[in-house]
Formats: sequence, structure tokens, C-alpha cells
Amino acid sequence: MSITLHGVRVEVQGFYLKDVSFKVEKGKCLVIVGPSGAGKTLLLDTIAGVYIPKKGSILLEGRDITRARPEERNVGYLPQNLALFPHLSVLENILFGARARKIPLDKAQARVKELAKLLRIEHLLNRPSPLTLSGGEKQRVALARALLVEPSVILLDEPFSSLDNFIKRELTLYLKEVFSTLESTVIHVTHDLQEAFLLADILGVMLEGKLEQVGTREDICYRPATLGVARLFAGSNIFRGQVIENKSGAVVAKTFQGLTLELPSKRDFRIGQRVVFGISPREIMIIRPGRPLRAKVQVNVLPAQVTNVLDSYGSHLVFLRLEGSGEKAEMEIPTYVFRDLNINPGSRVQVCFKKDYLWVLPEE
Amino acid sequence: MMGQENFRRPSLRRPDPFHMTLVGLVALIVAYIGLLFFSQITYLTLGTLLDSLKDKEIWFALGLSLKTSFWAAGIAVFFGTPIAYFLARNHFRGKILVDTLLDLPTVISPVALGAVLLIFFNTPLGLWVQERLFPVVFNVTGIIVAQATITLSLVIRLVKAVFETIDPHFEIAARVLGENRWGTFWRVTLPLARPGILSAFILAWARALGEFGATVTLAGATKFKTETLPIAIYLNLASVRIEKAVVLIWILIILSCLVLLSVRYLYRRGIYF
Repeated sequence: MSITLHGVRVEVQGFYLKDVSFKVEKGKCLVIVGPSGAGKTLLLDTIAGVYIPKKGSILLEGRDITRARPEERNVGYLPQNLALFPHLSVLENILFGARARKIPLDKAQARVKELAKLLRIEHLLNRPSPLTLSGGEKQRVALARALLVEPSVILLDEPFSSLDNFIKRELTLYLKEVFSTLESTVIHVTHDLQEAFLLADILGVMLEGKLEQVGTREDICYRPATLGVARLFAGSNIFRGQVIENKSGAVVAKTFQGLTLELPSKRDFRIGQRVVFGISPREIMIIRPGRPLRAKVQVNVLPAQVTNVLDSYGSHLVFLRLEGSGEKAEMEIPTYVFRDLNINPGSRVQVCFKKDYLWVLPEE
Repeated sequence: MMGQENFRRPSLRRPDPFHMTLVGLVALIVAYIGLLFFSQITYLTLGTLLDSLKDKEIWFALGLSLKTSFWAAGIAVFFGTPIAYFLARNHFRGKILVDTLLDLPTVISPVALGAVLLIFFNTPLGLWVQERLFPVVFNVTGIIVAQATITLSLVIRLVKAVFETIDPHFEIAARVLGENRWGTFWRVTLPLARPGILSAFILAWARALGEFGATVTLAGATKFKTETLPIAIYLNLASVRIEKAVVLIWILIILSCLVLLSVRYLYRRGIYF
């Protein structure tokens, strides 16, 4: 089922949600990323019915549930601690919702079997306590418990935060498969960008209680709506300057230190207007000497000096000082590419700030 | 392998003035408390013990104490648990005043509390309660009322702390799965708090068992009527029957030890979080 939030405003003991609006269609997964304390848990608690919004509405498939009690909403919720009941066995935990929702026991047990098979937890069903399960097992048991009552929407609060990286990757991919099999509508909050990109059909960015932007991966990465969103992906590549030329669909901006870049823009910027612009470290490329330049990389090509190189497992971070302006920038290149380049601190290189992936915003 | 043991041993063995001072202090206080309790052991001869087995007064005091303190603790837990839950989960204006008021009976002098109770049960409302419901002043019910009033505060404080340690997301999870507030309380919150509530009950029971000041003021010290263990100790000391008082004291000591040990045991096995 689809879920829609319209201008939801919540205030709880000094924490705020400011006019949150979005829509998730049936079977889609919205992942909201944001740092700790951004209000992500508060948002899920509100959708679950723990807090009543001061303003705005929540619609579940057109039904207004803004003021409904949690038990009347039919949402599934995996809180960050998973809240597996320690005084009940694994099976009793999964069956918990059956009694309240008046699902006949034989039907509920048949569904437990189905879910246990799907989630690969059949061997755990006779464990007397959930406390002896591993992190990944707990997760799947909690999910089975939530899915037993066939919720319209599933809310996941940082579901992988307590897992180590090895299990995390496997579970993330696996969860995606489960949700697509069941055609579940999912709202997932996390601070992990990689997890968000792996799972999301739509991405949202939440900062200080405000949902800054909701959109596709490309929207969020390359057309950030606010500087806050842009900062998530730009690393240190954020520059301040002013517009010096206005072309159709593009502007030329120059930093106060003299770095000049051509930027794609759908907005109207005045000449002289102060702007902030930037680029993801992954969208700066090194021009290999002697190779013909493709059309896309013929603008924004600059000489630079490498100041530092760090290995970040799978990719290398290369820190640059741009010649002429002295501005600093960082780029991230896949390790297998890096090996061919023979770059070291002190090396001089030609880099291209790919025009299509630069963003520009008016200074706030 | 360089095990942790190899690493730790030298630092523990090195004489450390800070550590030695602490050990000395602990030894001193343990010795003091130990001496305190065992100093009257000379009064406990085999004869006294055998006599006390046949002593009706001792059996009466023990029976009455166990009965009244059990009821008092039960009443305190029955009323205290929901109040504690409410205070743990709700924030409202004036909460600090309500909290303070509820704490007051454990803090003020028991004699003062007993006097306050005595005066209250002589007001029109108190007299109405005594006439229509149950007699209190200089009565066994008076013992229960005095003990329950004191232990209620204790139970509220202890159980509130227990509820506060239970993550509200357990309750949210239950409600989202379809349970209403009652169902959630019965099926999730209460079972999670059970070890804590049980230990609060035991501590309240122990506190009631030793209660003297408020009890004696409200219910009086009448032999074979309102004579609890502490009152029996007081009466026997007052009439210089030291051996009997010591037997009574040792009954209290043994009961208290059992209580403290059982609470420790509960804490060790019943903590979920």
C-alpha cells in the first residue's frame, strides 16, 4: 500500500520534525539518510503512532491515520534495538501479533513456517530465548515478527547499525530480495550512504528535523536542493564564489581565489550573484596524457599537484592543490585505476571536473 | 602467547598506597559491623535457644511480623506498581512536587509519620474509615497501615527505576503488532519488570519487618496483640530480659540476611537489559 505524509510537524521534548512531506508508492522503498540526531527515529515513531503530529496528515492508502492509535495502523516497525521480547521464546516472539490481531493459531503457524523459510530462520524457531541469537539472526526474527501480521508499510530504523560489515552487506542484499518478493512498501532510515544507495527506490535526506530533499539517486547526488544535502556527497569539494558569465543552461562561476568552472544550471543566476558550487570526489577524473579528450571532458580541465594519497579499501583518495588558484580538492578513484596511474604526493596531473556532475546553489 | 594474566599480575602485586588504603578501610568497617552483630552471641546459650522454641511470645511476634509485613508489602506493590509506571512514562507539570510528596513518608522520622497517622485517624474522615471499613488505632490493621504507608514510597521509587530502564520501544513494538495499552502492559511491560518488582516486594517486606517507630505510635505496644518482632525486642529490653531480646534480634538478622541474599540472586538472574 502507498503511504503519504503531508506537512507533518511534530514536537517532542525539544525535538522537532518540520513539515515533512513525501509519498511512497506500493512496493517501493524510501530510504531516508541523515546523521544521528536528525530526527529519523522521531519520524518513524510518528508514523508508527507514538506521537501525534501538531500539523499535517499521514495517509495509508488514502486512509487518514494521523490520529489513529499504533495498534490501529497496521504498520510493521523494527526499532533500532529490534525490541525482541526477552521473556518470550523465538517462536512466541514471532507469533506475538497473532493474538492481538486475532489470527487463528493454525493459520498463524502456517505463516510462521512460510516466513521462516523465506528468512532462513527455521533452525531458530525452537530457541527458548532471543537473547542467544546473533545480530543477523535477531534481525531476521524481528522481521518475521513484523511480517506475520501482514503490515501495509514496514518501518526500519537503522536495521544494520549493530552488525559487522561482513554480515551487513549480505543482509542488505538479502533484505532487498525479501522485500521485492513480498512487494512490501518500506521506509528505511539510516546514516549509511552505501546502504541507502543499495536499497533505495527513492532517497530522502533529513537534517535537523527537516526532510531537505526526496528524489532519485541522481537528483540527490547531482542536483542537491540544499547545501546540507550537497555536503553529504561533496567531501571537501565545496567552493564559494560568484557568477561571472551566464550561458544557456550553464553558468561560469569563479571562486575568490580564482578557480573558474563551467557549471550546469537550470536556475537563473545574475552576473555577480554569490553562489556555492561543488562536485563529488568520484566525479573528478584524471586526464591521461596523450589520450584524445572526449567531448564531455573538454571543459573544466585544470592542472593540479597531488598533495596526499590515502587508500580507502577499493578506492584511493587523492588530495589535490589546483594550480593557479591554489584551491584544494579531493578525488576518489577506484584502486584498479589508481594502480595504472603511478601517482604519488608531489605528482603533477591534469584533472577534469566533469561539468554534468557539478552542482551550483545560491549562497544561503 | 602473552596472555592477559601475564600482563595484569605485576600491576596487581605492586604495593599501591591507594589500593592499600581502600583495603584497610573496607576491612575496618567489615570488622566493625561483624563485631556489632556477633557481640551478643554470648547470650545465646543452648538453653536459651531451646527455651525460646517453647516461648509463645516469640512465636506470636514472629507470626504477627511475618503476616503484617507480608500484607503491607503486598499492598505497597499492588498500588505502587501502577503509580510507578505512570511516573516513569509521563512528564507533566508539577511532577517534581508529586515525586517529592510520594517520597516523603520514607524520609521523615517514622515516629513523626506514626503521629501524623494517629492524628489523621482521629479526624472525621479517619474516624469514618475506622467505623465503616476497619479499625486502625491500637489495632493489628494499624500495623499494616503504618508499614504499608512507609513501604509504598519505597516501592514506588524502586519500581519506577525498573520501568525507566525498560526501553519504550518494547512497548511500541507490541502496540504496532496490535496490542492495546492494557495488553502491552500485561504481555510485555509487566513481565519485563517482574524481577525488579519482585525484588522491590522483598525489600519492602524487609523494611516493613523492621518497622518500629510508626507502628508503635499508631498501633501501640500491647503484648500478644500488636507485638511485632521489633516491638517485642523493645518490650523485652525495657524489662531487662536481654537473652530473649537477643534471640529476637537474631531472628531479625537471619530474616534480613535471607532477604538481602534473595534480592541479590534475583538481580543476577532476572536482568534482561
